[in-house]
Amino acid sequence: MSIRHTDRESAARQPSEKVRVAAARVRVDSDRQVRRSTPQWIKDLANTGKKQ
Amino acid sequence: MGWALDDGNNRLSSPSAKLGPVDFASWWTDLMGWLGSWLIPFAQTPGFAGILAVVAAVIAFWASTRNSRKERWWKRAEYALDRTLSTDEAEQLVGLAMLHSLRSRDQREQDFIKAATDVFLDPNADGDDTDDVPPAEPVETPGPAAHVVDAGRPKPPAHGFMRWLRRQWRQGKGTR
Repeated sequence: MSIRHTDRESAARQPSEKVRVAAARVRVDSDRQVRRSTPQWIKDLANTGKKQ
Repeated sequence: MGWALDDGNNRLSSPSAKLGPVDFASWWTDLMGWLGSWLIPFAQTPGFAGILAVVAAVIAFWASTRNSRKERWWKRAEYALDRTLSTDEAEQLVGLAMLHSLRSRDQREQDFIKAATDVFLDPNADGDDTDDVPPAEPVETPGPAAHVVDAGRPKPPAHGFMRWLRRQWRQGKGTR
């Protein structure tokens, strides 16, 4: 349990940019499904790296 | 041509004239009387009990299917969350992709996904993303004079505070 917690903390501390973008996309899609507003910076983060 | 004929046969009279409040009330009474004449005896037959049993079975099946779906959803979500907790980046991405594939219109289930992604998106780690801003761009390492700012007032550095204090004291001594 404590090991898990440590892993989570370290993962939360230093997530790579790729992981943050993936998390932002998950979040945007999740918010869309329940019609919840998503902060703009998360939308911007989710759109980074997408083909125009 | 039709107007005259219909008028002659009295077929264009207003429907509201035929279905006035008094007529509707009597129609309703007739309908209830007709329903009561067969429904009450029917409700006492084994056939009615059979229909009720079928309805109960359908409701039970629906509830069971729904619970089963929710249970499977939570199992998949738990598995995906475990992957995101990994320290390995590739495994984190797999976990997030699995979370992404979980579809649900349930608010609580989506709250779970929100909480799982907040770990990566919430820089303050306070569970409140409304007060968050995107992480700042990396700044250059402050030079030796970086602590002297803000309207001429010297600002103590984060490290080497005693050295800074001594230097301030010497500078102050030199100017007197």
